[in-house]
Amino acid sequence: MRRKRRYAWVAAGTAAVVAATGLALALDGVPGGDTRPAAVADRPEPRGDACIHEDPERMRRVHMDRLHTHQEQGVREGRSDPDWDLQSCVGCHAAPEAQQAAGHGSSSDEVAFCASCHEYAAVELDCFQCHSTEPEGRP
Amino acid sequence: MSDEQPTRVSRRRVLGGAAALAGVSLAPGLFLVQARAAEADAGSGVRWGLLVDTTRCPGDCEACVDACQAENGWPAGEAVEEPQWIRKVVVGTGERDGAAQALPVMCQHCAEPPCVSVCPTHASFKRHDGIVLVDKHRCIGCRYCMMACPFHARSFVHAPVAERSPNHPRGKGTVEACTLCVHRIDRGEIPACVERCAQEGHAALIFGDLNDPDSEIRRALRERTATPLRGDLGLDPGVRYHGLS
Repeated sequence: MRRKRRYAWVAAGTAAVVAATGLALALDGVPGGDTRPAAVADRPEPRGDACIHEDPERMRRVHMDRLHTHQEQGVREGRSDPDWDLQSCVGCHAAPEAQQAAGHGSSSDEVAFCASCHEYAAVELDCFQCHSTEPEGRP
Repeated sequence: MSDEQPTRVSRRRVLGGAAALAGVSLAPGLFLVQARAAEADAGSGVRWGLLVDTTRCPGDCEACVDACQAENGWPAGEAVEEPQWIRKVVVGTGERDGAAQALPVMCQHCAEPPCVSVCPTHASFKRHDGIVLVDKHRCIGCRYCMMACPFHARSFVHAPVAERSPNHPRGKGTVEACTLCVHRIDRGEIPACVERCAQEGHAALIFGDLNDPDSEIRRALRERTATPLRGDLGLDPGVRYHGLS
């Protein structure tokens, strides 16, 4: 009997968490009926049509692994692939000065494209403490 | 008690199965064991080196230093804590015999680099083509390598970097040194200091593959005697000097 009551409590708790998550998403995540998350909806547009590597949904999920793999190959083995170079990402995704001046979301950063999502997800973005954000940097 | 025995037996099978699965993939696109590309690392069989002809290096010329600063974006400064990827060193006063010599000193890209031996995080490393580098993603800024280097070739970045060069990322809290312009070498170009020295008409710096008997540097080494700095240490530097007395 006691065990059944415990199960009931667990089930009720789980349902409450699911409901709260749904409510939070409905209120915050999808503003104005836009199906995109807030951070994605409010960020500067990249220059190209789409990411040259993979579709944006997938890039959002795996870009850090891809960059890490390239970092090891490029720095330590000298097999740098220009397509996967961080500088080539910056080439498309660094905001032009006009967009920086306009400001996007909470950030008027040079790399607001990255910063908008990273701020939203509370993931520190420290690539650009060392790496350049100059889009035309690479000759 | 009775249900513990089967658990213990099956645990090994479960772990074995899990290991087999993990070997294939951890998540879509994230592999535990990355299949290595068939192509070789940069410059297998190559060893890049420099020959400095001190007889052609004027004492008042700083063109190589300026070129390095412009290429790699490190600031000029005389203070001891300022970065010095390459500097002009004057040997002897020349007061008695007129034999003062000025020569550029940078990372000597040793075959047996002490900076690599002492690095606790493997941030200091030697590439397959002999270039000694700092992997700043791994550098913790302990500066053991700076202590170990007999040429005082490495510097530490003390302050946040305002002007970041696309050619060479620099960051506070990491150690840096001459990279032999690795970004240019990987593009098939020569280091910036060598290019500028030739443009200035001195051609005191000769760059090339020390392992290739037909390279320009090997031809020059056959014609001119060249010694490494601190040859007594047995580090086999990739930078050699001609005309040092």
